[in-house]
Amino acid sequence: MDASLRVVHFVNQFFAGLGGEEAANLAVEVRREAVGATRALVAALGEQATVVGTIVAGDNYMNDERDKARAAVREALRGLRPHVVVAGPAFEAGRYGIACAEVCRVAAAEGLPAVAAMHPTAPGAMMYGREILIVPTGPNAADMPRVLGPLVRLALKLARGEALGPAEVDGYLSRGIRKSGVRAEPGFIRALDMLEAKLAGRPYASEIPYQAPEAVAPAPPVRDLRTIEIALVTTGGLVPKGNPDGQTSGNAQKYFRYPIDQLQALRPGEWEAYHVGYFTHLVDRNPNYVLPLGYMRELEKAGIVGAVHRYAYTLPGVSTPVATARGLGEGIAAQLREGQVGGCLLVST
Amino acid sequence: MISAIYDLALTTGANRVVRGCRIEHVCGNPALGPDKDHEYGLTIIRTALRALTTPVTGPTLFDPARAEAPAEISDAS
Repeated sequence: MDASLRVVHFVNQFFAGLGGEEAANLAVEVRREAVGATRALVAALGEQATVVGTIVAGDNYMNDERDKARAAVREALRGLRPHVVVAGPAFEAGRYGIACAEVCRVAAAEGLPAVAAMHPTAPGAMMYGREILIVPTGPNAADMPRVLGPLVRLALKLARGEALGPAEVDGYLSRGIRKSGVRAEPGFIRALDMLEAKLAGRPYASEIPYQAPEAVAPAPPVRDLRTIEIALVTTGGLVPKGNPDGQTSGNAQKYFRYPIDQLQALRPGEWEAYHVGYFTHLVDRNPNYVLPLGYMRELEKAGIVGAVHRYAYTLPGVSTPVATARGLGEGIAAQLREGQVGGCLLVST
Repeated sequence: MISAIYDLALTTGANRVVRGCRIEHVCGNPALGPDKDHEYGLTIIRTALRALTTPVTGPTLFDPARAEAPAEISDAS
């Protein structure tokens, strides 16, 4: 319990009690006296620390004059020399949350621990949640009385230079950092305990955060195949023989496209599959197994489909993190849209 | 999507999934001999085209072996 611990608070114009949108252009200033929401922070800190100053800035100013704002915050922090910086709570506010994040980043650059508080879906949390410490809050200031406790607890921990515990213990948004450690019980006992709890309808906490796959709304059906172009895409890692563009055998960082408009089918010897996830010998002998151009040409000639799109897209679909896969998919989809393709066959291995 | 690991495709949310033969030869089966392999591959592609023209509300399996209605997987989420 140390009143010599110095805290700096950051609030926007509204939480400083200086006004609403009309005061959003307020430049960075330092208040020594406790204003607005700082009073609540002071009360929550009690004897444990002293708020030595409050940095106040308008939401617009922090956003529109970013460099000036950062410089002013930096200077204020150097003058105030806190042990920890507390920014917000900003709840769901967009600009305010981002401003809080910026203040924390400036503090970090000055070697000062900092913690912000905002709603997990606030833009500031979405953008900086992995970089700075954020205590999650409810959507609005009705949550202020409840959040001060966890916020102060974490702020004091940081101010004292204590080691940071896991996110769910110290009450901040997970930054996706994994630290090795030893658990009290072996894994099979923990797994069975979890299963027992699940079967009994008791609460249990997954050790691995589960992220449900994104549900994508199905595209409406094609009305008439004869009026559209269909594109062929494969994650089988099919490349022209010799792999001229240096496609990797896995962990794709990019996709490739090859013109197929002059081809009636994919001939062995002209293509090969470069992919560590499956034994490619059969595809090397018949590339149409993963890029079914031969079949599509037949159907094109028979008038079943309008046309085969001139480019085939390929990449090695193995060891691809979901986020990367999403980006690659979006890239290919954008090109297909640009090419006015009406449908797509994706062959996966 | 044409995939031999169609269960994985369905549970990860692909909406139109066509059952492929095997990972190493998704659109066909060399063990059938060239004529039957070709016929099989064509059936798979035709099924895929049928899937494109079929309205679906979520992950749905289209099986080349079954020409009739596709199987909507309602618990794949």
